[in-house]
Amino acid sequence: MNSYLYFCEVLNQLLLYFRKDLRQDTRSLAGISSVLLFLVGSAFIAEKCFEDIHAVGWIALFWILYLFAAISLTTHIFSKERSSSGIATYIYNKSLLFYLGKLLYMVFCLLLLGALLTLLLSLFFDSPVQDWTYFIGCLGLTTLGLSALLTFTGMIGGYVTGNQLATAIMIIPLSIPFLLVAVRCSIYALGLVVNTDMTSDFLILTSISILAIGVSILLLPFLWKA
Amino acid sequence: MIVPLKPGILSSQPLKAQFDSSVVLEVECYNTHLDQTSEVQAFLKHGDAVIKANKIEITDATHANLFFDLPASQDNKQISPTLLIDNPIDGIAILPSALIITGNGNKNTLQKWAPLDIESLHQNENFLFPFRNVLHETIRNTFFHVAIWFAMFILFIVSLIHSIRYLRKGNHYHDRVALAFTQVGIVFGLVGLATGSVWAKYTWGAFWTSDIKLNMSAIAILIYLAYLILRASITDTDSRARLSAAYNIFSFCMLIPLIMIVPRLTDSLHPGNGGNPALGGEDMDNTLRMVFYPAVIGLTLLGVWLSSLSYRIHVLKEKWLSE
Repeated sequence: MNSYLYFCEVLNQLLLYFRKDLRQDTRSLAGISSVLLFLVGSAFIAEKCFEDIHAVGWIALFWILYLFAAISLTTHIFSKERSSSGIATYIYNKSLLFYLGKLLYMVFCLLLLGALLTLLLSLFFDSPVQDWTYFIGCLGLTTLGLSALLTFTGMIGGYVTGNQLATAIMIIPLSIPFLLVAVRCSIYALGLVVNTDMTSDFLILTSISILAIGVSILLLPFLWKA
Repeated sequence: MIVPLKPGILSSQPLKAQFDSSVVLEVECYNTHLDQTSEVQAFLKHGDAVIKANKIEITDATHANLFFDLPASQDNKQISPTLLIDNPIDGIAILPSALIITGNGNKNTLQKWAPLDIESLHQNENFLFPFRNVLHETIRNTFFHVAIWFAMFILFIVSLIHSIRYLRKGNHYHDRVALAFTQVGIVFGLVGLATGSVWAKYTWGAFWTSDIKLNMSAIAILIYLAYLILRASITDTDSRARLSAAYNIFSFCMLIPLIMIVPRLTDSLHPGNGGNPALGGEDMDNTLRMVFYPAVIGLTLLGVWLSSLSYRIHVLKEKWLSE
């Protein structure tokens, strides 16, 4: 019974952080609308440039826009966490729960972003996706890994002067292994390659994501311990 | 550097011949002394069987014309035999798949190839590096390119250990050491890319290719450059040390999938990937090993020395700034 209560409390706390972040973002719509404008604008420009696009181009465009939108979203979300409030956050919150809350929120935002981007690109160009299960699985796993990476670098970026640029510099090289495997996986979803060995790619994507989350959790206390 | 390569065969013309006919192979050898001995032998080897050249005209030390009488074949199968040239001074030189022999439809005569008389061949007892087609003299780059990457990895691992120790102990000594080792590691990485690039131009034909390992290594260098940028953009000493140590550990963990796992998923021109040989049991010549392993140790020690210099510069700079 005790563990059940503890579980409920943890879940409650997580939802609290999640709701706090969501409320913060919905109150001031500047951040969300800038990301939305970026997505719609880029998709529109791409449509005007390419008119018709091959499946490989579609998926390349998808991941590039996804990465850059995710970076601007991260800098927006973590710019609210001032470095001066870090110690207060450390004292008043359980750091692991705080991180998990942020991670949950990032996963939610990035999934929304992915869904929106898929919708937009399918609207402007015909969607080349053949197998939606693989595509969604791939998007979900990449989102999980990227969220861990973005949350970690976003937290570091909070301490950096001129953090937008520094966060982008940290994220772009680190996100390449995720994106490379993600591109391979999503190419299966487009039906461009028929490979019997696709489970290994999905397993690698899962394990890199778990690695990123695990290392972030291990290093988490040191981000606040001033 | 002055150790010569083993004798080898650079090229042989023509590339195509027919069974049951005579062929004259014009061969160009490398590091041979064909004109200094009269006991030159040449063979075409297919499986365990050989045919011996019935006449050899030697032009100079590295050029010769070999006359072969090709026997009739049992069937119309095409074969690509290996060319062997043997002499007492240089030992044996080998050119795999020297030419393609195709059938001419004449199946009447059945003449078997003779088994190779190993006793008649000579062995070169000198200390020589192996001759490999395509690589030729650039095989020596193994001592620089490969050894530098080994050394770079060791430097990054030392940097990682010091970052972990900084987070555990909070001693700024470890932070400075981690920074020094990372800086030298980046320099080694850039030199590794440069030596690899030159090697790629010679063997693959271009300075930069789409080879996965090449690009992953470039990204790894970018990750560590981001470490330096991160350090430069935090002003507070304590949080700079703490955050950069955390980032160093995180980026090393991301480096493992980048360099160890992802290149193994796709084909690569590099040894060790896509079925190419690498450092395994029979892949590297022992004469190369005798230089390669000391080179790894030497370059690592050079890296440690450079890191210690870099560390001292940091300490002096901090002292000077605080005065």
